[in-house]
Amino acid sequence: MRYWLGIESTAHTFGVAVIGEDGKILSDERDVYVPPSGGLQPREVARHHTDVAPGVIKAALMKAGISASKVRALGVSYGPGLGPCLRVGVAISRALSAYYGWGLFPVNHTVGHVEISRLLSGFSDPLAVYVSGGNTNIVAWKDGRYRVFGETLDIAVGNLLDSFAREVGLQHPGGPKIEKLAREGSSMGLIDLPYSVKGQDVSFSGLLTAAVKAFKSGEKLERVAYSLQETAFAMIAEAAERALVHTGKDSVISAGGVAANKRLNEMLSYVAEDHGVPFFATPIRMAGDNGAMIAAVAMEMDMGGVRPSDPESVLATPKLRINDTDVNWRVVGLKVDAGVQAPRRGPEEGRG
Amino acid sequence: MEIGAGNEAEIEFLKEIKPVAKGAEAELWLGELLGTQVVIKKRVKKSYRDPALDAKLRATRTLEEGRLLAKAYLEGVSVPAPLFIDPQGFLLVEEMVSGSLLRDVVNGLPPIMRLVGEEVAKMHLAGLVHGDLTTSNVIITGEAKAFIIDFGLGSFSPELEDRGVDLLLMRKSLEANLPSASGGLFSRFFEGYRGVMGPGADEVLERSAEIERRGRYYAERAID
Repeated sequence: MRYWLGIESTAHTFGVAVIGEDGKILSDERDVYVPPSGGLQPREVARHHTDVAPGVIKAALMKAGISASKVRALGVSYGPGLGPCLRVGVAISRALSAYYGWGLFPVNHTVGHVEISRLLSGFSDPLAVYVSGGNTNIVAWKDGRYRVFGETLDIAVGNLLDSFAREVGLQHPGGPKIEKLAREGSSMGLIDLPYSVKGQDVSFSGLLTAAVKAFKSGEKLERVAYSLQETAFAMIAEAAERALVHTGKDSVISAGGVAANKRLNEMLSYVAEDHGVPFFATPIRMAGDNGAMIAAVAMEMDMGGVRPSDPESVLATPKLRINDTDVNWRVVGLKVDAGVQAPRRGPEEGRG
Repeated sequence: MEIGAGNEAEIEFLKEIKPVAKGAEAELWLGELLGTQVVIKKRVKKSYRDPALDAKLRATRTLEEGRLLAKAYLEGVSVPAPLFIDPQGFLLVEEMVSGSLLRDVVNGLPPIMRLVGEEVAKMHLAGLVHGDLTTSNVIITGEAKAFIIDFGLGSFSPELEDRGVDLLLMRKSLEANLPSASGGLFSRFFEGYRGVMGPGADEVLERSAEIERRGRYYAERAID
């Protein structure tokens, strides 16, 4: 059996995982930095990652039940992300690669999110809706790369939810709290908020301002949360639908942290259903940042005939875009199994 | 025909014959209005969104598309005449333009591109942008006239950026059609465009090149 290790450190999560060539995720360790208050200070997060790294790496190998000598190659998330955080993962990976002689594969973090969702879904070539704190991208594979068919023109949907939560006094992370409030407010009727889809792109800044204003002028929080979520997700669903019709892909997946939201997945599943294609919602544990997605891509690159990189040439690249990286190594027919750590959601949740 | 006799009259007034296409947000039907052939664009209900939001979006977009078509028509751009708009019923009825898609005839008819360029310039000068200007959204009639169709992604905009997107989409779509000859086809298009627009056309062309350099998805979306 061949094994691959993956290291993820683009933002608040330091994650390390081991995957076997049969697609089984054998370990998936993480240590998530939680700021004492307010947002992320990149340098503080980087210090956290440096402190926890040795322990997390050791734990990942131990839980997988393999020694370092059994690792065939290593994948590291080299961008996009916060520079100081990325540099921790990259520096450690270069050192490990040199010391143990492991091949080193630089992995585009965004590609990692999409690929782990694709491999879990079992679909060969889906349209992917990647939604997180820093990203709102609708992507599909075309001519050897993932290409962006729709995106946000200003803030990401996760940022929209977090910023709204902060403005109305909800604790971080705001997404799950807004989801719960929205369910409670679903019978109160929709407040008219700015809906902005431009071609295949979306824009959220006007929506954020209007939602905060509605709350401050006395609307019930539940009703504002419902209206905010409905409007934002309908925009994403519409952009996704246009991209689906345009690309003619045969399936749809959601990926990224916001893909944990059940209402968003419900909307996307309706879009897929209307066009007669299946939908897969990434299980919560695999939707957020993790090392397993990086290990999985390293494995695919290795199996797909990509040569490992010279460790010296692997550099942290904060502004990397999904379409900056060649993806001519996708393995079709390999299904990743997240094992007991991340059970697939049942049909009532993911409609998958 | 009895107008005002309830539903029956309405059915008589506008007859649906058969569906011809299904897009992301609308269905196209071939129909008959007062004895003439028409195209009916029906914005369909989206089950994924809140019913109030759904109705609002379908109504405002139907109205907006009707306004765009009316403006273009009145300014002398070759577009299907808007004949009937029912925002509450989410219906837009337009004149049926018979002909071939530019996509299917352009390779045997390069000089037509000049005419297409002229129509697009007239549209821009009328204050409209198309938003999805591909070779699938231009019809060439038997009399060799170029009609621009489907303003579903259009808007009222005098912005250089939006005009640049239109030009880029047309060029990309020509490239997808016939990569080797696309340069010549686009030059003819731009000759026509500049002939109507004047020297300001150069700025639009420059902006379209800049948009392409930004490497966004425009390059991908034009390819049908």
